[in-house]
Amino acid sequence: MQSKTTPPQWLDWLITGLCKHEVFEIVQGDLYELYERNLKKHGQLKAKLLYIRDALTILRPTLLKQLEGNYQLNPYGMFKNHFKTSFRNLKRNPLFTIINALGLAISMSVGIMMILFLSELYDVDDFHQKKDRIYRVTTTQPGLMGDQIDHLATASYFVADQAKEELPEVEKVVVMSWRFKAEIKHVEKRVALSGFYATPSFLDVLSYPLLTGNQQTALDQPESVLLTSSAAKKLFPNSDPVGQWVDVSGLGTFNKGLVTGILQDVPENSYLDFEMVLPMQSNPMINTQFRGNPNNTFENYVYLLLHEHAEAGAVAAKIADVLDDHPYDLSSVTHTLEPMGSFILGATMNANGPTFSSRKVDMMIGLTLIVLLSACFNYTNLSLGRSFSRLKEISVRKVNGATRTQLFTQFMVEAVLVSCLALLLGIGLFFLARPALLSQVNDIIQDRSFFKLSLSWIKFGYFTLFAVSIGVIAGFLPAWILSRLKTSLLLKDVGKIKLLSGMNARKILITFQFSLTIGLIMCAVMVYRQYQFAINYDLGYQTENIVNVNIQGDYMDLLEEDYKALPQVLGTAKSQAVLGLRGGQFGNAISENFQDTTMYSSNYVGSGYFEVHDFDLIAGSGFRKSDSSQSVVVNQSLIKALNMGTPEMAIGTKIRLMNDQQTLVSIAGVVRNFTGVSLDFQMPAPFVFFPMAAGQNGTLGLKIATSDLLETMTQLEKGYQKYDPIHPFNAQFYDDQLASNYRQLQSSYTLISLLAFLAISIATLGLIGIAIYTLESRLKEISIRKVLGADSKSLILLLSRGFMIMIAIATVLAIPVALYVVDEMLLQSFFQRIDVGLLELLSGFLIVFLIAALAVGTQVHQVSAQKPVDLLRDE
Amino acid sequence: MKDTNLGAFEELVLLAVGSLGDNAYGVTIKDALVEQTGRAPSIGSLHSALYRLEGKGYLTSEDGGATNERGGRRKRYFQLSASGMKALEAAHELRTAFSVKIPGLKLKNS
Repeated sequence: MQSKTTPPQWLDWLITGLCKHEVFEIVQGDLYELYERNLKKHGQLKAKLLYIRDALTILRPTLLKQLEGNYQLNPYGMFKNHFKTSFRNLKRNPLFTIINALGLAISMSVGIMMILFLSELYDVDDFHQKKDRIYRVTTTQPGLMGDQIDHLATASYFVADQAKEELPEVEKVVVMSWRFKAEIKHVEKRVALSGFYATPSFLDVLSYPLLTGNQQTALDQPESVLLTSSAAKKLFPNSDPVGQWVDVSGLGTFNKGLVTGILQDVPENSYLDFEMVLPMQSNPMINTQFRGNPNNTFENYVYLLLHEHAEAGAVAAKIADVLDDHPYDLSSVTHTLEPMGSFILGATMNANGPTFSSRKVDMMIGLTLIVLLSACFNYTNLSLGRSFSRLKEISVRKVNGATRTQLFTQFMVEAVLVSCLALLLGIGLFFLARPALLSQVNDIIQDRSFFKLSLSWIKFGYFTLFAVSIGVIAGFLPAWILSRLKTSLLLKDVGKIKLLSGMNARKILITFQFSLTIGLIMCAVMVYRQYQFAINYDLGYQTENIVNVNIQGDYMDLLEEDYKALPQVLGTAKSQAVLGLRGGQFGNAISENFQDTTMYSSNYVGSGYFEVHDFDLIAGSGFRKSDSSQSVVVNQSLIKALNMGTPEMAIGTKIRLMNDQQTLVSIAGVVRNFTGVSLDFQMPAPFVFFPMAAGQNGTLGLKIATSDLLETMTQLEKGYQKYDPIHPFNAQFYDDQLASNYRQLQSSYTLISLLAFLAISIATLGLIGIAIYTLESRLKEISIRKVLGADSKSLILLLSRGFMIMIAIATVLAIPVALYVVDEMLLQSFFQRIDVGLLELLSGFLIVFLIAALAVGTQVHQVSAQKPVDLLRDE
Repeated sequence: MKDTNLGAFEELVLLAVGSLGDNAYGVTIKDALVEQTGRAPSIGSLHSALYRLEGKGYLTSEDGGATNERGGRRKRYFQLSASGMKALEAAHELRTAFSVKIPGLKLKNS
């Protein structure tokens, strides 16, 4: 009787595979018989379960298959043999080993950096318990000028209120203000702390625990102040801060605060960085009118805590509906919900924490992978090339009974060994490079030393895994090809071996490596040129030898007088903002006859400003105090925009400012056009300089002439501290400040150059390998040609021809890609660009050509210098 | 005869094989053991023991008929070899020789 149901097939397969040959059939038979019996007695399900249970009992040493061949006699012996052979082989070819290990090590140090970097990037804000339910409301709206679209990390208070009242998916709402710095004073201790206003829900939603104080109520009172533990220690070294009053200045109406709680110090991987939290209800900017206007999207950060299973997309859609219903036309404003894990990768403008655009991250990952693959290809290339010296060994092994699998394993072991060696080297290289890498990466963040790139045991485990997988990838192809070779051929005629399929693939790989290198070099050159261009750009005013001192008080006039007395100070210039950086103030102006209107950028400056900075005053003079209306100095663009004729004609005419008071100002002077803003930032071209009021804070520019810079700076610092003992002395050279504009560009340049260097090293190594291989297989041909009368030069040309063609192809491939990358990704924010000339395009080609010529040339020379007699004699 | 280095389970398996005469194969041996000892050995451990015993020379085997029930797979019939018989006798002797030395132990004679 045969039943329709059969026991699980996969178990049969398992048993056949694992069980000893003599035994598996009868064991299976017994299992089947028992199954049939159980089927009748217990039914199908139980029969199946019992079958599985019984089948698994065959997993015992007596019944399992044994290793075949030599492994059966001495399992450890074979592995020992493989290791020994690998070591000896590596020792016998030190050049090959070093090249391979070095190439892999270099790329591995890059890999290590990427692993650490990525793990730190994704660890941000991990300590928040409700992290997966927290979202930030972002705003997309048309930019201030032209067709720019602004992505803001902020949103309107209106949306926050609506979310809390109307949307059931939202459990809690937190609103935070921009970060500010305020002075806190307690008895004699004064300290400047950074912080922001936040709604009391801040303590519920985010996981910044209170060390002392009531987590539920600490932010409820309007005078509450929360300090972090280290901030509190600065103010209250000996006493308990909670319950004590502190004086606050710098925040307008908030003068006195009551410490209601001490927060645990903000952890290193926290997105937000602060020392103090104040209650939002005390924020003077927030009143009913402000809260009700959905257009006030710039000032506050809105975090939403959604219920479990609530969908962010649905919430965003509902917010859009709410805006639709509002009487204002809000069609151009859209809000989206950004999950907490993506804050740091966000492409928003005014984020409240460090930003690292996801595109950059992708680019870095991509480049790392490319470098790694490059090194793997290299290993493959070189291994195949060097395989000639091992052919005898392989054939002897085969004759002695090695199976293909065994040979394969042997070569894989060798590859993994080299890979692990490279890992050790790579870690060493990484430590060497770490400080430089850290400064580059943290520079891009520009906020604080966010990334640490620290090691831990778990990460070490990742590295080992990583190294082994690289070894496997790199070693796979050589192992596979080498284990396939036919013994008879090997022993008989080595010359006939052409690893043909390997050959063309290798050519393609080398070409790819070269185009990558050429592309990277071109990118580096172009970015560097742009950087130099930006730094040396003539802004239209003087910035050399000018030190800008940051003033945060009302004592600027007094300090100016003090400084004027110093012999090293040749001139002083007060201003509110420093020109040439990113950002600035702007406004709208209309001509007196209400005919023309224009936007303008503005700055408040002192009377000495134009002279110290060498502005070209083409009409009129500086500010005049005599007029009834305020006098201003403008630039040519403004005159043109308001159709005021020539600069001379404009002197004395009035323009109206579009502010609340509709102020009338009269033009006292016109300067030649200049560049008032960083080259990758756009602001209105017309400019208006307003006279600075007494007591305004800002920047004091000092023209310095000195041989002893350190001494001068010390004197300046002393003078400053006389008036301001709280805020640290912050003075920088104007040129340095401008250069920091382009720091990101410089970082990109450094990073790309580094990668280019890596790529070129790896590609060169690969080229040497393939050159050696190609030449070795053509030894006889070369010697015959020599005998027939060829001279060295024509030989060199002949042999190099193939390589030069590869490089030419690589260049042609690389140029469009490099141009695209630089245009779209690296320099797209720049409005003033360099022209891409022939030099830039050919730079990559030239460098690579030179290096390749050197590599190939030395090999060719070596070979062609040998006596034909020696080469032709050996058979 | 001295100790034959026979494990307890192995001894039971030999006994079972012997008791089944011509019909000793995997399933029947298992059933016999269940019947006599009340415990069911797993197929794996049973075949493991059979394999080892055959290796020691105490059993001989012969492949028998395949049946549909077994999915077309053969059976292997085991039989006690001469040395297997001797081993069983020696084991029994050893047990008896030891047990009579224990005062108060009631040994049944059947």
